[in-house]
Amino acid sequence: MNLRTAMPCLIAASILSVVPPLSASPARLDDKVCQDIAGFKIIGEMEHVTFKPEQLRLQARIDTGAQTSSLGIMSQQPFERDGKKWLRFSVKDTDSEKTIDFERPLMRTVKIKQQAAEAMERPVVKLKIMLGGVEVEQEFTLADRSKFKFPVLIGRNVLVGRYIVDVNRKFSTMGMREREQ
Amino acid sequence: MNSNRCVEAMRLLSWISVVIFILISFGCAQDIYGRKVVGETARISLADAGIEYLARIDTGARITSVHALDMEVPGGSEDKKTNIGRMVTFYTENEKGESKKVTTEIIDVSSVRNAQGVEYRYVVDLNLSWRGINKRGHVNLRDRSAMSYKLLIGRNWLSSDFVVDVDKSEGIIE
Repeated sequence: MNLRTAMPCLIAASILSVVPPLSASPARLDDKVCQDIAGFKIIGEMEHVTFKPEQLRLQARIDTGAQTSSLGIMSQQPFERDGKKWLRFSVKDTDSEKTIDFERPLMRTVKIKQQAAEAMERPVVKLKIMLGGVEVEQEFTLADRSKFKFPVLIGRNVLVGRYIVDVNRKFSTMGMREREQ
Repeated sequence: MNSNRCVEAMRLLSWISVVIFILISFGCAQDIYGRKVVGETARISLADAGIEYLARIDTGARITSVHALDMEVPGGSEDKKTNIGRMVTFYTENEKGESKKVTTEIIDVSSVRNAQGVEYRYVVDLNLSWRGINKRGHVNLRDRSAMSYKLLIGRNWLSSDFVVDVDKSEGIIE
């Protein structure tokens, strides 16, 4: 008796449930442009990140093998503000060769095990960055990264839930800088 | 009577298509612009040896690396570079302690700089398989006893075929 009304619904339901997986691959993307897919930003194996509010722009290695992100510093000096532990640290601006001073509350310190060297303590601070047009505030380990090619390492704590990494891209978020300002 | 049976049939058909949809979306790797989405870890097997690892997907690593023990190069010399082209035999072990013997050709020697200085590693070509997708790639051989993940997937294997979403995982080794 309900056949006339039920049939179209059932046919629509069966078609709709089969079609999405078949039509799930969108048109080819322009590799130069950072794209949004299902709320995720596609970023490359290396990208520019801008630290805020200092507006310091540095090159970063995007590293899914690292849990915590890391920033290379030149010097650090602990101090107290309102009874709380703070850290003053300097970062080299690789574009202008100038040093930029940062001041942030010290979140904690982590012990780093290294095969040959003895355990080292590294400070952890929260930093606000712009990456691919998205603002993210996350913990960064501060370390001497002068021996490394990249002053910044973006680990899983920044990537999770926000970015998808495509190693065939490099500095793909360049075009988004204007929008960041 | 007849129309009731028809409704039943249609209902069954729609349930079947729902099940098919669920199987397609969860059974296969997700695909965006022709690239498969892999998580922060993945169960990847060494197709030639028949051994599976819980692998760490590491966009910070240039080249894939696998746990190798007791490496032997019959007729080879101490200088690793002169052994390119020779066969190497090694034992590989996954995180569960399962072990397999592998014999393959040395195609290169890579130098890796670390805190201890420069280390030279044999590079071989291996067929790695994930969810039915096979891909050959350069893999360096290294004693990874001290490391949790016995297979590390580097950018060379991911390139052009995979993208990484660290929201996804196929297991974590504490």
